[in-house]
Amino acid sequence: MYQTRRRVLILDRFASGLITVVGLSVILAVFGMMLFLFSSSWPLFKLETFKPAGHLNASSQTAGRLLIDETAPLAFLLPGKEEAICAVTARLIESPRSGRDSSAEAAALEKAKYEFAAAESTSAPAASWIFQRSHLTPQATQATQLAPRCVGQDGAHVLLRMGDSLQRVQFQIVRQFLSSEEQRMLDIKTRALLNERRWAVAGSDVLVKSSQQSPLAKLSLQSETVWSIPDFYKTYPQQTLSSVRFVPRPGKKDGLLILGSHRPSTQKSNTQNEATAELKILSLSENQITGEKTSSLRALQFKEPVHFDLDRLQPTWIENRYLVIASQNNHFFSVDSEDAQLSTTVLTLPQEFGPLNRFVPAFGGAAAFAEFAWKEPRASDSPNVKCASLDVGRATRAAQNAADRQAAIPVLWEDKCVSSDRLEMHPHKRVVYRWLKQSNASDQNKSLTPNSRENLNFANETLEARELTTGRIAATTLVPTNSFAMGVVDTQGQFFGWPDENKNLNLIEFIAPHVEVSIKSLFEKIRYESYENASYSWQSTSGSDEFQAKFSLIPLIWGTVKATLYSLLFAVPLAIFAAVYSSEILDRQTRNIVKPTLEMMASVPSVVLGFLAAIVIAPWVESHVVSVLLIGTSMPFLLYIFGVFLQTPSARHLTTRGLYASRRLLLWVIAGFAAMLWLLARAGMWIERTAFGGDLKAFLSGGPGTEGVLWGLLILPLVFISLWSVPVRRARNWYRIGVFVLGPIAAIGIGSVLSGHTTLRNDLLGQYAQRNTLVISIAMGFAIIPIIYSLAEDALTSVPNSLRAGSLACGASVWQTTAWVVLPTAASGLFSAVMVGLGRGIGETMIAVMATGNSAVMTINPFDGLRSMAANIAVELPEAAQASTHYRILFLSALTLFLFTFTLNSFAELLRARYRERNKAL
Amino acid sequence: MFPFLRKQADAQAASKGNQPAVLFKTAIRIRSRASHNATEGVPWIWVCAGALVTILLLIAALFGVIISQATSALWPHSVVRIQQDQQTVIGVAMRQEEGTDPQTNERQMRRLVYQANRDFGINEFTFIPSAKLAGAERPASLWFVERREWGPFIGRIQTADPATAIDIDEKTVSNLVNEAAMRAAELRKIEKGPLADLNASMEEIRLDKKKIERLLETGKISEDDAAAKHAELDKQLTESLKSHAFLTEKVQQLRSVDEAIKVTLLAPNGQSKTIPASQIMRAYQPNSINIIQRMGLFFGRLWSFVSEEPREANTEGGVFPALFGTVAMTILMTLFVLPVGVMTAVYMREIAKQGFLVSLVRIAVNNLAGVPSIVYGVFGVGFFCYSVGATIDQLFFQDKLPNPTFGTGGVLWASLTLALLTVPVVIVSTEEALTAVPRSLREASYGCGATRMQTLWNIVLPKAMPGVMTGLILAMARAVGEVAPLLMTGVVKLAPALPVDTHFPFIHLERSFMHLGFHIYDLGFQSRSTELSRPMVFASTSLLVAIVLFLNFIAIKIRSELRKRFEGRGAF
Repeated sequence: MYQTRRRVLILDRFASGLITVVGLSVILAVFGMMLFLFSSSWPLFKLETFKPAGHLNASSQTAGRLLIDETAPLAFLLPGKEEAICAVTARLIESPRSGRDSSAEAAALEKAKYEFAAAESTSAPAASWIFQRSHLTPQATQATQLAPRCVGQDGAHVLLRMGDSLQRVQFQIVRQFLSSEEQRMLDIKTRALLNERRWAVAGSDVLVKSSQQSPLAKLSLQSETVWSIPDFYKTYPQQTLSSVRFVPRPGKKDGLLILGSHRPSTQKSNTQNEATAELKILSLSENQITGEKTSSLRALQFKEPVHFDLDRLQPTWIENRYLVIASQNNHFFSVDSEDAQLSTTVLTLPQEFGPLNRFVPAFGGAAAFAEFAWKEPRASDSPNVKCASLDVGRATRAAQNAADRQAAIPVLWEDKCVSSDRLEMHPHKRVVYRWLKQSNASDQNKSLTPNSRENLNFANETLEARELTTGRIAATTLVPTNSFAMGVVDTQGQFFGWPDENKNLNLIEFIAPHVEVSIKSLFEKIRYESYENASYSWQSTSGSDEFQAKFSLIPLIWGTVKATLYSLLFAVPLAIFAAVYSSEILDRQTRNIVKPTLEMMASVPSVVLGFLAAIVIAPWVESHVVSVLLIGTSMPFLLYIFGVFLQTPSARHLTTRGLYASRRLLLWVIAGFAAMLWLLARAGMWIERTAFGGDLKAFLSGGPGTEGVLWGLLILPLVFISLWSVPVRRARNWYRIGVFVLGPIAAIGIGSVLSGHTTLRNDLLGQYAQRNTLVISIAMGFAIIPIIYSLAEDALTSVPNSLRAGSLACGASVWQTTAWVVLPTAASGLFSAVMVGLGRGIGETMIAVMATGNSAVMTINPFDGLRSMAANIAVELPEAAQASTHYRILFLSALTLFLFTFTLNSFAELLRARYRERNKAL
Repeated sequence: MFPFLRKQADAQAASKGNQPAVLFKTAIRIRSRASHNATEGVPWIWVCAGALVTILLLIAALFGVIISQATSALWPHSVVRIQQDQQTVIGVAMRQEEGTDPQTNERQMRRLVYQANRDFGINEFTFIPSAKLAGAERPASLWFVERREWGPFIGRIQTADPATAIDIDEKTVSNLVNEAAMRAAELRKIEKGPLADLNASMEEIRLDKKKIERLLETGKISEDDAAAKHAELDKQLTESLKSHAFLTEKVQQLRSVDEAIKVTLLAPNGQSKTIPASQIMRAYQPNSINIIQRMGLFFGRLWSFVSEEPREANTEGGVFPALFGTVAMTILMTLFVLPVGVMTAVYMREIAKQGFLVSLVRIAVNNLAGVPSIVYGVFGVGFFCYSVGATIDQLFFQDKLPNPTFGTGGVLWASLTLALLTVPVVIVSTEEALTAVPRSLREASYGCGATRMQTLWNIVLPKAMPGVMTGLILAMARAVGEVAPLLMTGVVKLAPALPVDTHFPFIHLERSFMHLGFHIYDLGFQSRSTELSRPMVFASTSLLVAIVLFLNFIAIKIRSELRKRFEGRGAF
């Protein structure tokens, strides 16, 4: 017996193991790819949730402000009686100051640094503190006898009252590194502290060491008065001023100053003093040369005296320029801060809204959320409030342009809802939070209409998050108190915290990275901010929070389908007819040259086709539009007429010699074809000169011309076909030739009649764009033709010859055999060929990028551009930030393309397989 | 039925080996003659022929346009002088088009004339009526100068001294240009050689310092060690700086020599400009050279086109980096795709049990070829760059962070993406080839006692090799022309360095690269002026198309050889 060597056996096993592993992993990779695309786009559809974020000892029961770092809750500021501050991170702030009054204000200075200012009270002097995330130390730096009182804050700026003057103070952290000499001077206790926890307090400064090796740094807070109004409190004596509120203009140093004043009560029913508000715009100008800063206080001008309720006043800045103020009588006032007079414009709401309950402007002021009471009294068990999202930004802009200084506020959506006790807005996203409390929740649930089914979720005390543009309720959760505190983490989610009776701080986090995306926003019409109507729209670039990114996939799908269908319109007839000719008529030798040539054409890179489409085809088509249309519509019929002529008895001898099966015919056809092309091109130019004044583009955009001729051009094929289908028995061939003369005349005639009803250029066609669908249909058709041709040719060739022979033996002509025997047999194969072509068209990228103009419009106009999904990905993905909403939507469209083409190809493959089976049986 | 027919058919079948087709063809002829009905449907046949002809004409037009434009872009055209409205237009006549005369508002044929001389206050492009071109002068004394900056110049070359400004003769010019080219070569030798080496080593020192800092901070080395290492690195750095200064001085010297040799260019509008002779890349008198010289110039320009680096925002110079990038990326892709594709095909055909599941997988793999390439690009950027690459950066290139090394597009990720894209092509054609290997061969091998792998390696694979090669070449052809997935996986407009150079580790897979297809996209679509970039983009297009078609042609040849070989041994 021979024995195989051990080494060989091991090698054998190893090799087959390796091959198996590699083979399986490639197969897995295929599905892994699908899975990866899916997992990248899946987070878009994850439901937004409120997630519990922990409990912390709060040492108080009152809600205050929640300060939040980019990653975690940092400090919880309580304006309570006993303690002012408590920290919620692991390290507790050393000794919370006590006895602060409620005017304490906090602001985030920059990343991981916070500033806290508090006014003087009976037990403690005024002070402000600074916090570092790594070393939470309150540091009194601004201890002054002047009793500063914080009246408003914005970032690092604080508006303080200092004696009689109103000052705007900017706080700033100064860091300096200690020299080794200075380090040696430190006392032992401080050094020990520094070694232990890497930070220590020295005087009014904080010493910090970020690591053992890093140099020792000293942090101290410096403040600088940006401007001051010296005798402010003399002008407005404290007796009449109940409060001073400041609404800073984002990014600027000035803002709106709201002065609340006591007005002696005149009405007997109202025993309390009524606070009225005086609205002034505080602006700051700086002399560029001297650097002198001057401030001015200008009052807003109202046409009629308006009474503002101080507590409910919600002013908001729009585009850092316009100020919008809502009053409770359903009136909104807008002011252009650059207007010298500061005269107000009235914005009105649609009539059907009742009195305004609540109003919260969204970030940037472009949109706002509002609640209205019902106009008519309602049954007690039905929702008694209407909530709506208002497009305030658009109304403001419209009001500035309007002559009568009045504008209606458009409503983005409205809904019946339950009255909320508190409304808050996410600072970066279009999300509104509402806290609702219902005394009779169980009764409420029964009577709700099915339309407001989501309202059923309302329990006793609910916090709900609503998306502003669509009104979708993103998530709801139970929150027992309406005095919760809010804070933002990054731009992603938001924290809410409230203390309970056990002095625990409960924290929940609202996680909504892609809240603006839902099935509705992707596939349905949405009324976007500052848009007239609901629309499908794709506008992805978002420069700022104020710009609303619009992610509707419909325009992209439309563009993809439009490009594919138009190019199939061009490619399918050409490819199928060519396949029929080369498989049924052409002799083998020629076919062996023609087929590889066409298949080679499939490998011409699409970037080359795209480039040629943009640089060569587009300008040529632009200057010969009518010729192109004429060639497209009448070339096949002209050829047909030639054939008819050859069918006439006098020319029959040409065809019966088998001429059309030979190479000679192809040469003749090429020559004749070129001549016909030239003729049609000239004719097209002639038509353009006579009917459209030499420029169809000008005609399409409203210039002079004859509408009927354009109609005639478009319906020419239909006219030919219908005229030919008239059953004429005698002199049939001559009739058909006659039709070619008759056809255009009839087409123009019908076209003129039609043009009385529909104006093509306004309804069907429109403006001419240089890079348009017509151009892309030619270029993309060029890419699709070889694919359809090759598969169709294979399908036709594989029809068994016995069938042909049988048909021919029965006396059928070659064409009769082809049309009635071969084509029906190969139909499923041809169909699958077209489907594969369709798949290629859908995924074609470079041609679409270069030759379509990439405008996301939804028209069927062949002279208009489009934006296809694939091109959109190619253009936008390199610039989309990783893991952003935009990025994920692009992944989603890639997944859609993948699934669609994969399914299409699988279906085509299935058809082909069945077709092969059947042919085997034949 | 027809004995004579049968005899004839048999005779033909013996000669051609194509029995049924001949029978059928003959039958057509017989039937056509016999029946008047045969003409039925002739119009449709005309329409079918028309469709085929349309496609053929389109192909002809496509290649005609590309080849003619590319040739014209490299061809040294003669320069014409035309008087138009008291203005002298001197330039190269380019394409003809129909346009509207701005004065008379009449449509007329006009020619685009390229006047060059961008920096002499002359419009680069101007239109003149075609009729005027017939009587155009061709002054023999005009020079066409290709410069390093500011694009070509058309005019006269004079000595630099303004007092004795006279035209320089042809021989002197060519001497000047040749000498300048030699100096430039010397300069490049220093800049690309020792100077580049020094820069690379200095960058390495910087990274090493950063690494020591990091180790120190994490406490992995003591302070003394760190100080010692720092000192050593500092010493190296000072040495490097010293030799850097020396080399820079040498370069400066060469430059000053270069600057000293000057010529004056005198434009047709009377303006002149004195430039160093080294600014001139190539100069010739287009109207006084004969056809042989013209051909020589044409091939010279062709060579510079494929061998030089691009200038002037890619609108001039050559495409060498793009060509190199394309080839490097394709070769890298081949290294991935060949073993993986062949092994998968072998697994599916030879190892896995043939059944429903395998045929399902086969269909899936088949269909992957039809998945849009952009989808692969999206996968590539998401998976390779942002997932795998970012992890590699975290593990091995911490010192360079936050600048990504592998965490962004690069030649490795691009070629992996394209490998994924083309692997179905290789799998399908390898499978086909494996199927075509007769069973008897395998059985004979097994009969001789060979193991499965021995059979596979020695008998089956060699037989299937042409099929594998066909698949591979088709995959390469597809990869060369594919641009969409590259847009996001690492292709750039202008790469600072090639992915292969003389610095360790010699092959830099993380580098972004240039690609011919992207070059075309960028120039044709995003360039400042389409008119200016037109010649370059057409030349690049023809180069790309030539590569793709050449690869395809080889594949088709191999395939037909393969078919012949297996057809011949049907009885195996």
